[in-house]
Amino acid sequence: MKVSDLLLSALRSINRNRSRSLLTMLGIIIGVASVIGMLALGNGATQSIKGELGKLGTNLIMVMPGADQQRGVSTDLANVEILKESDVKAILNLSPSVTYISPVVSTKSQAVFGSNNSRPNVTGGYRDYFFINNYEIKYGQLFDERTGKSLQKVCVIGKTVAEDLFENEKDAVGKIIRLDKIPFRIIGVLEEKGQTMGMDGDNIIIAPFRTVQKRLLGLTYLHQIHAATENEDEVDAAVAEIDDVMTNYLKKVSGGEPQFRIATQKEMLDVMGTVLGLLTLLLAAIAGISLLVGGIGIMNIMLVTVTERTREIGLRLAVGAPSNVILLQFLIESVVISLIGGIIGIMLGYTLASIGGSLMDMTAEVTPSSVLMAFGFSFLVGVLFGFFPARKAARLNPIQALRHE
Amino acid sequence: MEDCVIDIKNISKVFNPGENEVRALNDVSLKIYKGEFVSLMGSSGSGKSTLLNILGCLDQPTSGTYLLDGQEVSGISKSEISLIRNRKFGFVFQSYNLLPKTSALENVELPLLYNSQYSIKARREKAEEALVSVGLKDRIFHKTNELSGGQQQRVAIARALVNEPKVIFADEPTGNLDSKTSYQVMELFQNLNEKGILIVMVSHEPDIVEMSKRKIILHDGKIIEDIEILNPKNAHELFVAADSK
Ligand SMILES: Nc1ncnc2c1ncn2[C@@H]1O[C@H](COP(=O)(O)OP(=O)(O)O)[C@@H](O)[C@H]1O
Ligand SMILES: [Mg+2]
Repeated sequence: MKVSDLLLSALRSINRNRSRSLLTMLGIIIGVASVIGMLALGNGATQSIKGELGKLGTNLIMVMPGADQQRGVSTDLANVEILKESDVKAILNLSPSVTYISPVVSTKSQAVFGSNNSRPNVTGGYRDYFFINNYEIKYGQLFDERTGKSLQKVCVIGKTVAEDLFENEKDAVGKIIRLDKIPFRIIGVLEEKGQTMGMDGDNIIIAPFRTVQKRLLGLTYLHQIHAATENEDEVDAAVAEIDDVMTNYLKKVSGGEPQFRIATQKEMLDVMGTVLGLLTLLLAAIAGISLLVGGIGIMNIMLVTVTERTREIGLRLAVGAPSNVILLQFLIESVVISLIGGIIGIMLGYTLASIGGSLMDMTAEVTPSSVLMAFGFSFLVGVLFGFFPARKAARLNPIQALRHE
Repeated sequence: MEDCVIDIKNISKVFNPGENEVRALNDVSLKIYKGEFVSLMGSSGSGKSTLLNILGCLDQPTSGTYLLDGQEVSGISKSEISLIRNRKFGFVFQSYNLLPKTSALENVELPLLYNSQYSIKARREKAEEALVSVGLKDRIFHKTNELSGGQQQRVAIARALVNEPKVIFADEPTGNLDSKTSYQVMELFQNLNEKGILIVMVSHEPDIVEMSKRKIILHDGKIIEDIEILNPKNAHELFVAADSK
């Protein structure tokens, strides 16, 4: 018997019991649809979070005061007077992998223009700060001094601030606003950054480092150092160099413990990716269980089919069907049921993913690999759970099968 | 000796060995030659079907040897046996055993499905030919449940001869039919036998058996009589006679 004959006979038999076959497929349909849907939504979430983190600059390295977080230091680490501006210079000079570097101080402040006001995050940094954190200028320009030595009272503002204070953000350049009553001239407006991890990335004012440090905050130390490499693959080397400089040259250690910690965006991305990957896997595993249940449903109905068609099987054996062909016939029938269920499931999963994606406002992408996987799984389920009933059919004794009522 | 197709020696068949043991066949020996038309007779439970099933390689004896065309059957692999049943044998059963809700044509095609030398087209032609030869030209596309008992049995005979078998085994082929229809079926068998097909048939109806060439009577699993029928009755004449009544 040719495979095409077997396929045809399987399709006929499925068609003869249409409603029963459909009910049998339901388990597979639900299983495959949820696997496809879950993976698509999981991928979508991963992509969008990675995208958001990517906006912050993938080569970003942050040096912060205080020991590793795991040790649970309870003081307000940002204000520990560990980091000095001279450290920044030392790192730049001694770490060949570091291309951009900036000290960072930040505060929340009141910005006033005429009768309008806004409450942005105010950050002080070098001109490199913009490059490190992927800020682009939309109108105006960046600081003309790299480090802001001359304490110029100029600033660059984010979109939200511009909208709060001005009718038209284009008009902002050149205007004088007051930050904590100190006048600052706006020299640039930033491109929109959008929401990043639920925070408004445009509610920001960036001013030269020393101006913010000395004029606004009156500090002698700094909160963080931000650095970046030219390429992503240099990040690890840069981290090692910075650690070396901080530990061995600048001696930022106390009692053998470092007084600083280094975090990278890459690290955060990796952690995020791992967490989301695990979550996706978990959801897919749960969906996989329903595939298993679907498989048991197939096995059940195939056993019923074999019992119902015992006489037919007996007859086929009597007229010379080899038992392995009988086995193949029932195996193909269960695989066809499972695959049809799988295909319907893939389509349903696709629909679910796009509905879910639009509800959650993200692109839920059904990847070819997940479709392939779903297809493979339904094939496997058909083979695994169809085998036992098919073998039962193949092992029937023709005489007894012919006598079966 | 060349012409000996079936040669069984000291065949026994025991069902449920142990407490409720049934000795269905007890030390049976028998030779059947090319061109024969053999009837197995005997009362119910005498072992006729059991013997026929063993001869048709549908069942295996508990002990004894079976030489089919000089070849020891117990030494043949399962798949080879399937092949023999498919190519050399045809089976006709008392209860027809047709697939329900399926056309006569598809039923007859069934054995050809397991013979890969036939294309779909050749399969169809062969099956149609077989149906025509049993007089069912105008019933080819009828579903089996739309046919009378005699017609169904003729479909079953068409199915048995579609693969051009050497031997046809029939277990009470007329058991469910009235006498007139029985004569029609027997006429088919006589014609097939005429063409050289060996026929082994189980029947307990004496008038049917008289149409074969040899009668073997079983009792309690033993052959008690084995006689040649010198002047077999002509089924066609009997049918015409019955028809004109
Ligand atoms: N599969 C079986 N299991 C147990 N006993 C059987 C089986 N098949 C037949 N028998 C017994 O073997 C004996 C012969 O049966 P069978 O060959 O069918 O007789 P018949 O001559 O009526 O065709 C009977 O007593 C029957 O009950
Ligand atoms: Mg019987």
